[in-house]
Amino acid sequence: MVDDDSNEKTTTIRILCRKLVLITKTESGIQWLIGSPFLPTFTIISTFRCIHTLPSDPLSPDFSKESDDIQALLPRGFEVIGALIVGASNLNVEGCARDAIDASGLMRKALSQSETHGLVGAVVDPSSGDIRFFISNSVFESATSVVYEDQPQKYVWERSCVLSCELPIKLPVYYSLKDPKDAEDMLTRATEAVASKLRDVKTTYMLETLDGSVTKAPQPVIIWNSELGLPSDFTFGTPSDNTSQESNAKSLSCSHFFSEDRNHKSCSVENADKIHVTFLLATSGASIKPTAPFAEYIPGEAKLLVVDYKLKVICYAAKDLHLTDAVSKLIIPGLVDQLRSMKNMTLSNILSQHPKLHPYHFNPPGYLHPITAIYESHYGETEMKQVEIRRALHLRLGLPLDRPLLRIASAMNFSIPKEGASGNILRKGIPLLKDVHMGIPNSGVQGGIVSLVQGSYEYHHYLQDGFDDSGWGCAYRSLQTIVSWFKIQQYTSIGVPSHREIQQSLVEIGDKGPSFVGSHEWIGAIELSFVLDKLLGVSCKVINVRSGDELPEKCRELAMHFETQGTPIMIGGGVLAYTLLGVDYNEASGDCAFLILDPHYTGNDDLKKIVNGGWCGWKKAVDSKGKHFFLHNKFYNLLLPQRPNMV
Amino acid sequence: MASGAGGKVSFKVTLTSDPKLPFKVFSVPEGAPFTAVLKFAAEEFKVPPQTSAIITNDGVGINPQQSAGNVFLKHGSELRLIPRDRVGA
Repeated sequence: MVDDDSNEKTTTIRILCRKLVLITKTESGIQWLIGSPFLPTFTIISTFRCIHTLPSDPLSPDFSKESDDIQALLPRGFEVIGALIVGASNLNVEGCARDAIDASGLMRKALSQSETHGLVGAVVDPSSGDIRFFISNSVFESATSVVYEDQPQKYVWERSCVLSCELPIKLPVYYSLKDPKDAEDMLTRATEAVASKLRDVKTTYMLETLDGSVTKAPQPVIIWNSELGLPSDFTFGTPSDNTSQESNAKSLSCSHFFSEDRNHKSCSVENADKIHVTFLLATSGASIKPTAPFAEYIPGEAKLLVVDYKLKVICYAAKDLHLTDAVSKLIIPGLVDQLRSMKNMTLSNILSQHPKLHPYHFNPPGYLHPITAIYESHYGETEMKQVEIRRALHLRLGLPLDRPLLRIASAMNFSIPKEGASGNILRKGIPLLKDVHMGIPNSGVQGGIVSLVQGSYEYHHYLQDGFDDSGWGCAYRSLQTIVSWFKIQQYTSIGVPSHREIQQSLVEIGDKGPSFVGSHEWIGAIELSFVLDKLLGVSCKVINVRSGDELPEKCRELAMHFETQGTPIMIGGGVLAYTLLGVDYNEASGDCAFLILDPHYTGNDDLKKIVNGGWCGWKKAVDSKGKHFFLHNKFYNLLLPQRPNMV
Repeated sequence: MASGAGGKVSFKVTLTSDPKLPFKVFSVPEGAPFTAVLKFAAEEFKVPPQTSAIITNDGVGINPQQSAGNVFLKHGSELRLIPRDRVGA
């Protein structure tokens, strides 16, 4: 679209998020549109669904609850810039747009964001799916141009960075035993005391880069409280050109920490440049007024409760933002917000049960920016209330409700890496090959439909980790591949079990005698189903065929499995175990091929060797030379693990 | 097949490895371990119980380490007896 340059800044709406409408057409509802003060005014980066509405009207947000949630969820550096309404048909489009804009204005107010700001109101016509955009920037008008950005990741991250700060706090809360409600007040007071302490005269902030790959990392920058600007000013000024001689912290911007060259790194949250902020309190030094030491005694029965918070905030900032502004207008308000959120979560059951609150940062699929969720770890992730919290988050972010995407295992880590931090590194420090089926040659089936495993898995095979199971361990290895799938897709956080652990499980459930542990005994599909049930709570389906010749008949069922469940399948029969990763099936001709991952491979983890040797490849039931892959005179059991329907 | 008086449950178990699909009906106390059902069925069909397993008609695997009553409630009464594969070469 050709825009008139003078109008470019005022009425062009730029849409970065891929999926703008989260609400299905049959419902009506409202979504918040998210932008950033560091990007042009009407740039829509993402959208959140409004999930707390008044009981009477799904288009009337409960601002108090919504703002509490969004305050905790959305990192500073992002803001609500508008709203989108999916309404009933035959609605008054302009009226709806005004409602959307009014709602977003009220939401900004509830979030303490400045009220004078251009806002976007969007209305979706449920029958056609068309979206009409309006803006309100002193005047209410229809948007003249709407641009869908081609490279949204680059747009968001090219000139920006992430600031992170971690602050463990222990709050002593004294309350009177006679008046338990006192505890809530005391907690509130203690929280506010910390909030004001963050701007205390003696506070100091140290900023450094986390990027270990930079060979000559710049020195950390220290900022004293006296250099920080006023927090109430919402605008972020850009620094005037500073000469290279200036090293005064006051004039440094975030880009001080990073090199100009970003070409080698693709733009994304994971690759974004990161600055870590550490809060320091200067406790030595002359006090304001000289005093003699004194003790104060307040009579009455009181109890001490120590409330433990570990604050973890992240903020988004343009690289040319002053470091002092970054601390004053992003980090400190972010810490205060999170502190208050955690206080509110603690308040209701402060005396009965002390929640262990932890903030986690996630990069949800389909989102260009990270989000923060505060989880309670007292009873573990599968506890009812935690499941409810995650379901609500999935709903708000438009994520599918049948699979885990916001589990602690997939949280992002913004901390300073410790020496030897491993994260992804498994046993013996060598990561396993994943998804070895990608890029292998075609199956040779003409006109077939390929159905493959969904998600990632690790290739487990003979002799891995220096463990010699050659000649007996193939079913165990297939099980390890299957467990790795459940682990990578976040259905479990247990490690992939060793042969011994697998055997131990079977003894514990009574399927095998104690002498089984440490033996080289073979197992099959049924034993795998028992272990998956015991260790992961996963149930399985079993397909039994009397002869290998019957397997091609099962292709339709197998294709259906890969389409709906998408988990790897174990095939046991003859004396061999295989892992099945997909089928290519032409229903009309009956021609089919099986994507087999062979656990009998004894070589090293060299992808080329594995693919060229056919250890992961398409096998036709009957190849061109007439050789059968499956034995006709043996029965086969296929184990189809079922994907648990849960978040 | 309803559960009868005196807390018994009945299962109809089909031997799928035989093309004629023979079946037998067993009645066991609710509290009996399901392994007993597996054992009876295997013996009736003259196959070794250690190399047999029971699955539902839909193919869902059943962990025999639960009571017969539990299995009846979770999976119903229509079951299949299949041979266990033992693989390792």
